[in-house]
Amino acid sequence: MPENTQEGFIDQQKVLDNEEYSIKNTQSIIQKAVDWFRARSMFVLAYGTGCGAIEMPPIFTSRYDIERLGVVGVATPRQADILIVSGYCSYKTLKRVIRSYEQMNEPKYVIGLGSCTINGGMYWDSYNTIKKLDEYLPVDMYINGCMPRPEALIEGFVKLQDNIRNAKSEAGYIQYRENNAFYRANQEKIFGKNTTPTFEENFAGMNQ
Amino acid sequence: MFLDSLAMIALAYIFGFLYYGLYRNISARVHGRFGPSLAQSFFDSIKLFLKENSTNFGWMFYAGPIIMMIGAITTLLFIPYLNGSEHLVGLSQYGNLILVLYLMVLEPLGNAMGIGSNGNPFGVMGITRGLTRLIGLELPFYIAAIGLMIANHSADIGVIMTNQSEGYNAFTHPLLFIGAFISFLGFMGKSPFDVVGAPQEVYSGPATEFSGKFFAIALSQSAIFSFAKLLLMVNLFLGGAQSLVELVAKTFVLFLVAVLVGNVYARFTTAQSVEFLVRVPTGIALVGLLFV
Amino acid sequence: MFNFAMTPLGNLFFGLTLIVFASLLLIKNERRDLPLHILLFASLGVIFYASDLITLFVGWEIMSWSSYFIIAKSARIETLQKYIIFNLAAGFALLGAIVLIVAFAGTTLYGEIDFGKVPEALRVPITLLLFVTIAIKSGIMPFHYWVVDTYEESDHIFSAILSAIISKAGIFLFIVIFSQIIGYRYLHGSLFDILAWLGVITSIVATFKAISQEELKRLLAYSSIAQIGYIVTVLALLEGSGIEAGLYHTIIHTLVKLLLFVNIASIIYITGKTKFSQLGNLLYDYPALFILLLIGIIALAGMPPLGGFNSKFLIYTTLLEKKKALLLVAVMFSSASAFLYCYKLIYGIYLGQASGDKEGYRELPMSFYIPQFIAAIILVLLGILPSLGIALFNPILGSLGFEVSSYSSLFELHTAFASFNGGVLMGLFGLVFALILLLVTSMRSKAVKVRDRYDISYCGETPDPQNNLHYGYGMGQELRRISFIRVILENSTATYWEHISKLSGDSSVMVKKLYSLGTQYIGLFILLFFTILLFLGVR
Ligand code: SF4
Repeated sequence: MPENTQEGFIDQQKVLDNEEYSIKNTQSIIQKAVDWFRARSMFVLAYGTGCGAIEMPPIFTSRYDIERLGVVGVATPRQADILIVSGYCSYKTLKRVIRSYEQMNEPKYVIGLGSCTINGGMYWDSYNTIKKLDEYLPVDMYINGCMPRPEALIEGFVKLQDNIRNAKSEAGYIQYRENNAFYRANQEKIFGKNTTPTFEENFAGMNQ
Repeated sequence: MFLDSLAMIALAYIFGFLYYGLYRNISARVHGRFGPSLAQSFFDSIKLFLKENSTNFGWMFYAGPIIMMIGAITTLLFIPYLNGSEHLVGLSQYGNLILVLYLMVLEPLGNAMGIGSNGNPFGVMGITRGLTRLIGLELPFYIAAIGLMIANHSADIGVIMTNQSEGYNAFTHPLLFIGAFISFLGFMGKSPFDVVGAPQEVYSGPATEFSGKFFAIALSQSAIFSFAKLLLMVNLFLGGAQSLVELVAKTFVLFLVAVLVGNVYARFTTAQSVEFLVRVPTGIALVGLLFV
Repeated sequence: MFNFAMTPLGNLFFGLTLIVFASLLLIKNERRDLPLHILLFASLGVIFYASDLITLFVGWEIMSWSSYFIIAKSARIETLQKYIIFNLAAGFALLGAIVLIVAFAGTTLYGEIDFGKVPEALRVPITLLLFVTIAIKSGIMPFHYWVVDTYEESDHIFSAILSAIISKAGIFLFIVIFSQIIGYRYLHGSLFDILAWLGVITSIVATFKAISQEELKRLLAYSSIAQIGYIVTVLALLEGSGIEAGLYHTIIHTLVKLLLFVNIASIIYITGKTKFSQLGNLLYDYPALFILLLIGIIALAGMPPLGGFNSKFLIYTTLLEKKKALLLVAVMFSSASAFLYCYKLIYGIYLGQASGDKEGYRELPMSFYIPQFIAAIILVLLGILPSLGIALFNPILGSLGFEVSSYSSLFELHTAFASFNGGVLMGLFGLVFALILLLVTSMRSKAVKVRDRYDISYCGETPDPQNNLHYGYGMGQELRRISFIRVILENSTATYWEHISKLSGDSSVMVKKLYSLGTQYIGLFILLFFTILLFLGVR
């Protein structure tokens, strides 16, 4: 894992450049088949956090018809494989986003939609939105633009499917599991003790 | 007998998923889309089986989907596939129509137990809606079944099936058929009676907490179960089938009608659907019963 | 003076009584009055083994009075008044019928009574008097007014006796008096058609009432009324197969209600709470109790593969044979609606989220499990060997002079309409369960247990114990939106009986001027009424 910067920001470019981490083509035959199925069928929990959310519904309509790619929307995080965080994320929303993410079952992937998830976008100096989503949740696919068109979102899905099918990058959920302390620390910077139930700690008493 | 039963289950599994794929495709065409590939539902279920982990709420939650699966499989095994064939009969000589009608309720029961044990209020809301709907749903279907049993003087599905050589029950008892068909639409969980899982109203309803392999089992059992229901309708009203091809043709016609109706109508509320079911199809079936 | 005879029918009912009493008396209960229980037990023996009408009546009265004194320990005064007024009326009606029969037949012995000697004009009144007795004791509408309050307020263990055995005394009386003493050929079929419909309507109304109850025992009381409605319906067909089905359902209902009432009593013993809104999520604390209740409700709902399905199956096929299609539709409608209250029972107590804390819960003595285990084992056994019941009933049918039904093996339940094999069914269930369990556990996907009960997907929120997440007591309320169910739920016979009690209260004011008596002497008026009837009859 490349060095984290002082605020804990992972330099995505370094990840991509680093041979060791970016490409892992060591799938066994079985794992290949498994990954093929995972790429072929994606259940999406579309969390409309910001204004970019308005670009999500069109991909399910007859004009864009993302169901062709095996992508379906679901209502509950338990069944979802993919979490779309669509745009800026206020602190209050972030808590719910993290909660939903933690309730999803592995393997799970996060798509950050819009510039706001990358660097804060036009909310770069806002007092109550997060700037870099990657500090709090491991993002597997960024789609930039403000706001990105549905075509861009579909492109993102295709790229993500390609990544999953060929194991092109380490899935975010593994990072989240292994570097949980890092993400926890960042989350706690915002929420303090009043954070979501953690992986290790017991639920009791955490939700005052 | 064991192999026979296994073949029945396998066929129902394949056809169930194929039909579900068709359902998604046909609805897509109705909406003016292309829709996913035919095997998409199959991929979905395999993917769910392959999830790394699934959320478990304790042993009753674990057992819930299994009971649902038992309900689907036992229902299927007590319905013969073909008319006058020695193969694909399963255990149908040990059962009868009344038994099948009761076994059909086992699936909602397993569902209710599993979901009740996870403590999610949305799930239970869905279950209560489902059980409430069941009050109205079963009435016309029961009336039709009673009419057929009295007319044939037997509760054996095989006998009712073979007695239709002169004319299908759907034509000799049209009113019973209409009543049963409307409640069959509800049994298939299609609009306008899909009050149970209504995502806009109760989150995901009963499926809210099902994940990974539990959801996969729930999907597989619903595929098997919907094929069993199609089979029952074909056997009772369309004279069964002589060959698998005929069976596929007949079940497909029924299925197509159900899908098209489901795509056209909006959803009833729970109270509306019970009232509608108790008034219209029940009334029709009761008139049909009087003719019997 | 008192004549007794061992009949197969008496043996069956006495056997059930023995099971219920023996298993229930094992439970330690300081509030129980043992002499009264023994008196009650003896009176039931007298009823079931009596072979003349006077003995029957004496047993009947002792039964009513001894249970009155047992109930009196815990019930409110209004409930007691209701109980005693209705049961006195039942007793007097029975007495009236007996006197009329004996006056013309000239003998009290069962075997020697020839109902043909009773004049035509009196046969209908006698039948109606007996109807009243039976309807009051088994809680057929509109005479079920006393049942629910009494069940609710009597001791938790005694409710099991009330529901499992005492309500069956009416069923026993029906079979003995109509098929053995009077004989079906003297009876008016149309009167019994009305009774059959009364039974079905009772069961439908009671089913919906049960769904909307908030108290555990009230729900069971209504369910009891509903189940006995089926039995009366199928007996009122006046058929041998009807008696068979009725007896089968009697056995099943006795066992089920024994199980359920003791289960509820255990929960009340443990928690001290009696409402669905206070309970919830006891599943993982008391898994054995949960499984026993599950067996109970599966049998109560009549689902295969347990014994409950056999009796439902016999009831349906009997109705099919008699071509009573509309009755059958009503019975099936009622039993389809019964799933809701079955689910409410198990969900409200054991599933869902806990409402309130679990502090102060008591340890449950083992003796509470014994009656439940016995009932559950017999229910499972009857599920595997459905014709065991038929083997039991054949001597009874033979002694009553009906055609005996044949069976080829104990595994197979055979009727003219259809047959099914309980052994195959249970085997299939076991096999499929084992196979699928194997499949599920061997899957790649790991089942990860949630860390906390509140870790549910709740739209991204994290609920805490302050949020009320238990849906138990709200369940059934939304049924009011359905118009025909609202009509049932919002009306009750209470208004009717209150009207009658007001009328008798008004008239007693007039009498009060002479004797200054209170309303509690309504029994006197009923006595007066039946004495007049008696006079008319004798004349
Ligand atoms: S990237 Fe633009 S469109 Fe998207 S949430 Fe941010 S401001 Fe809105």
